[in-house]
Amino acid sequence: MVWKALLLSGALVLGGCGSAGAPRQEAAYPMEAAPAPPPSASGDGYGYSFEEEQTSLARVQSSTQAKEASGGMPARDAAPEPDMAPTPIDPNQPGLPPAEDTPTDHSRKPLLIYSARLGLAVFKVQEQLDTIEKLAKDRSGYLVARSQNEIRVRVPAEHFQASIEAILKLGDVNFRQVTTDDVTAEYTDLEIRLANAQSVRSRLQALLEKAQKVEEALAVERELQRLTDEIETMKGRLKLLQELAAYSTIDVAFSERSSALKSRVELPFPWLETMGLEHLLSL
Amino acid sequence: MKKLLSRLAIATAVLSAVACGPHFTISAPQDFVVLEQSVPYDFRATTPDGLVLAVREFENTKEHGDMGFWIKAIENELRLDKGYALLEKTDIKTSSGLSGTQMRFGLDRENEAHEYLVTLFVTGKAKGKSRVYVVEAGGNAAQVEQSRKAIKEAILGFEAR
Repeated sequence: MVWKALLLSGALVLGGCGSAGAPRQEAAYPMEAAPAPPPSASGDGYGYSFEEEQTSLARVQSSTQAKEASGGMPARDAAPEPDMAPTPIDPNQPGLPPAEDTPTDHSRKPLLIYSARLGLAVFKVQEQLDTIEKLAKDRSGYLVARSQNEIRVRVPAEHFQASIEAILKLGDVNFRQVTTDDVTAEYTDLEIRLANAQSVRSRLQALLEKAQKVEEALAVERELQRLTDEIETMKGRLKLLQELAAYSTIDVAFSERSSALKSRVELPFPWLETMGLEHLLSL
Repeated sequence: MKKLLSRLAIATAVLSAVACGPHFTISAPQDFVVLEQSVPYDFRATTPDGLVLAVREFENTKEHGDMGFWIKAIENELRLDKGYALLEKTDIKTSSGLSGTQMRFGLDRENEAHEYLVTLFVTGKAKGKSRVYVVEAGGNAAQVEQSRKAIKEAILGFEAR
């Protein structure tokens, strides 16, 4: 019956671990110093300020967007993968206070995911797309996807600001949006849950060796399988968060301004409407 | 009778305006030929490849919009409404000493880059007669590049009367 009790406690620990139920310990993760904040979004290279620009600097959002940021378009080039092994935590380690007594660690560096969406006016689009792709590669980044008038590149976080500044100089800026997601809490939580799950798995493996009956062995194996799946999922998520933090995503779209942004007062000078190449070149 | 007189006055005004002709002079750039039929332009010239340079003038006596006003109005029209990329904005001075502002716009049409130069001159003093002159030049970006010098010379030779 001891193994049943252990199974139950293992399930309880996994279900309730994280911020409350698990023993908390600082788990180091391989993270570089947080990069400088994104660029100040004033001016467009011509000295204008565009009212429709939506720059939200250092906007800390919930980490739920991180998943979306990684999806969407297929990777053309393989991304370099940082060392992902998180430090396991031994809950039996002597000297660890219970979770509820552990003070929050404020000294830890935040794990931030930077991303930007930039919109440029339509001019020499193919040439500009080539330039952006090269710009990313020159900064140890890589191309994620490219279409007729859009491109997604990823650059090391430390080159995020410089890359944005360089791209904004390429053309007339229609809009820009820079976001920062703080995933420190999610990362820490995952680390603790992973360490606990690994610890429980070790105990289950020990139990499996001692199992006397077939049904006992099968029950432990089922739990081991479930736990292993969960561990792999958590490892995958940790890896994804690290990769997203290490490489910032920059989306650039060449397009006309959306019709929603055209709602402005029409001046009573009809000749203004006849400005443009369409009229000029109609011979 | 009043109606008739009013119509007559309008017709006279239109006729006198037409009779006066444009209040500027400009020479067609090298390799351009002047087109006779140019409405709504007051002057228009083209190359065999379809590069065009044109001039329009407008009364500004009522509005007295200054250079800043008209530049912003044109910029808004082209950037916000028509999707042009504003590539450059520079102050220029013609050979006759007239100050103006030139904006260089870009736009891809059918996957081909096009360039559009708009040069603006505003003459007249506050409360006096004032006119706005808009000099436009544009076409395929590569062809504009080839004729850039000739176009610039023509614009620098522009004179308002």
